[in-house]
Amino acid sequence: MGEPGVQISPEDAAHAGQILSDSSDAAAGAGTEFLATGGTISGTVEAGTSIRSSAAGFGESLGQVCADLVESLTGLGTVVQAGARTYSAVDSAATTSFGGMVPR
Amino acid sequence: MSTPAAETVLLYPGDDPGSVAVLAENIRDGSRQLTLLSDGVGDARSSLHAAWKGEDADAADREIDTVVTICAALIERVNTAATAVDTHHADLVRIRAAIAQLREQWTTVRSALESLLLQELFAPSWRTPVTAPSATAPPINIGGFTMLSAAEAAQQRQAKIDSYEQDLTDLQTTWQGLVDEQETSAATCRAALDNAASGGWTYIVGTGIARAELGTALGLDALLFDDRERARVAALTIPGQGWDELSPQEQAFYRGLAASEFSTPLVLGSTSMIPDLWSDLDPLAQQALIHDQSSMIGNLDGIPADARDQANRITLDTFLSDARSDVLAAGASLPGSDVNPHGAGQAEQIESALRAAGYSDEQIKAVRGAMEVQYQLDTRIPSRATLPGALPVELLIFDPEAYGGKGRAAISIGDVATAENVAMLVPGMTSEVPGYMDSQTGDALNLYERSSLFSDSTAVVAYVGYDAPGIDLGVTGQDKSDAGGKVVAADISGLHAMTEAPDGRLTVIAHSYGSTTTATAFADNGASADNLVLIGSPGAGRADTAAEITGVPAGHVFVGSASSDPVTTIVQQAQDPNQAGLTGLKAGWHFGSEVGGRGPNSNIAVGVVGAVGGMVVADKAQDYIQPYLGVDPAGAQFGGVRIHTETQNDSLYEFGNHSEYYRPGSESLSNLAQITVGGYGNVGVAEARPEDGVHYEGNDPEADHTPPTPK
Repeated sequence: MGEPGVQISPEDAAHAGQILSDSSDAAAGAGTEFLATGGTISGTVEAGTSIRSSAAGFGESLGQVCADLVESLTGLGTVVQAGARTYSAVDSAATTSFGGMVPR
Repeated sequence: MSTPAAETVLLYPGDDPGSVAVLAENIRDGSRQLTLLSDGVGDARSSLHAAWKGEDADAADREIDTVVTICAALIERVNTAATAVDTHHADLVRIRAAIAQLREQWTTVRSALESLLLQELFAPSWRTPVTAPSATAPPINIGGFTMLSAAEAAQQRQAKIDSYEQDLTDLQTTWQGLVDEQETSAATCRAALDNAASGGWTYIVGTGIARAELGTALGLDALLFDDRERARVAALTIPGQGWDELSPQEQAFYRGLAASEFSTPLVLGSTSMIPDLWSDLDPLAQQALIHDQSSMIGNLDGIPADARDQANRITLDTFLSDARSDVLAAGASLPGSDVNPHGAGQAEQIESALRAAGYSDEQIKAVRGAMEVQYQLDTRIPSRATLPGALPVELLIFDPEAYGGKGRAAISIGDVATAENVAMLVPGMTSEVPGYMDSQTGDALNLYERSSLFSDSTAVVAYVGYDAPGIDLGVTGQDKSDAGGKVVAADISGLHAMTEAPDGRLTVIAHSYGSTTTATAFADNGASADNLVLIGSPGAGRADTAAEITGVPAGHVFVGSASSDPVTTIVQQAQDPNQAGLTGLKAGWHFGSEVGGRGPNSNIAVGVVGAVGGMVVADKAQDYIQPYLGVDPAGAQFGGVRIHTETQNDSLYEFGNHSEYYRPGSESLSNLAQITVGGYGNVGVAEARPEDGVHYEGNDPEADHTPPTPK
């Protein structure tokens, strides 16, 4: 027989998914910090060329990366949690209603 | 003439050091949080490894790998940027301190200079030399003090003024050097920030959104789905075709969409949301689910027929492809889908090949069932010459491993979504996918063909879906029909969700033990249909009367029980404890006589032995037949509409009469077809059996009905 497509411990997978979702908070925090860099330079430019433009670009770029990470981890965490819950719910419902529907 | 103040000449260049310090701190905060993120993701990966295995888990692991790699790269770059900003901050602080010092010097010089200038401005005219002083003229000495001449004093003041002005010029030159130094520092810092903000990686997030390189094309504009519209059109017009048109990144995107717009809401909501969630889902996200979770989508009630069909065919192909690979690796082979695996000798050959590959009994049954389903789809149904060429055939349920390899399957002949008339055939005992799907498909084909004579919009579903009893004691009680009733009710509900014809009609036709199961599905489990037909029924399960079947309109519970069908007569009556012995006696007598080969009058001894044996067996069987299979639905007390289903052979002991209901050309099949298409006026109605349950005494009025010869 081929390898089973899914082997899930729903509770553990849901826990892992929660960790991933929680991790996105760190990415969101980092993103906020990075995005704040653009507005950090508040002194009057009195001579020469400032780093304001580069700092703003840096903040925007890294902020966007962190937004992606938030999206990624939230999505991945949600997928893992949803997968675990779906598997658990469908398997339970299938077992109750159909005597088993999801291949084990 | 006034000398400008230091603040207006010796400007502080660049940005405020305090702001730059805040910038550096912000960046370090970001770096610290990225480190936390990386650690958290690492923890999650450890948990995932312990909790989740399989292809999806591998994909998630790869995604986490990507995130961790990106985190490491980001942390390195961000730290480099923070160091550069720190350096620049230190430069700014140092330069500002130096300029502040210059300003102090400027202020001192400026004060002295302005004082001199003031003296010059207010010097008395009498002190102004009339002529230029002589260089040789001696100074005037008064009381020990040397008095300069006016001209000499003027010379000295001018010299000091010149000196102060040179000092100011020097201060400006020094300041300019510091400005240049600041600019160099700022340029270095800018380069570091720009470098940190630019990247060379392609970032694919977990939800599947592909990002272009950082710093150049961030945001959704980076979604360069060149084939997106083409794939969408293909997905809408040719189900299943669009998915393969997509790049891996695009497929990942739609997987994420499917998770966020279908799976997650479904988990948080209820199964009643499935139809709406599915219809609102992007066609390509639907394809993501169909391909990634074919087993679930193919059997999920609320999903449309075409999607279930596509998903189940994917599951079928994958399942058999795996089996064929395993068998091939073992040096054997399996027949193709053009060979009936239920045909002569095939089952043994298939079993031998699978056993060589190390398959268990249950796995062998599952593969045989899958092969039998594939044979129906690929060969048997398409080769039926009397069917329309473009007839849709749909695999609506497929789970080969259910019930220990007995499997679940449902094949629709015709499109259940659009057909005005849909019939679902529920089989009886021994109905497992391996070994029975072929027969069930044959019955469905017969009914489809006959129904098509009366209507051009029909679909017939060959269903093998509940855990039917085998040839064992399971068939003598209602444990299996009680459990199966729940399954059948759910599958009927799923079929309702697949039908879309506005005034469509659903007819459920249940045979033998399937009628016991299906009657229970309607009586106890909320099943509903426009018509329910119980044929060859040994008992109506938990439905004591047709009136209890509230999910079917009054007058639409039909019963087909041939007077010569031993299951509806001998078996039915033998369930009555008061008649079991007598029934066994009679059955044994006839059986013994038949075994004797010359009839009861010519071989009395064998008949007597058979009668005694039958009575004993019947009495013993009563120990197990509790509760019995329910009332005889052909009896008047049940209250159903009995229809003509008589057979050509009127022998009560011909068990083949139990399997004549779908015989092509028969009156029975014609009546079933008329019910299916709603031609109720053309259905031949029969008289019910007497209420006292003595129909086995030759008192069944239907025995007098002579069916027309099948055409």
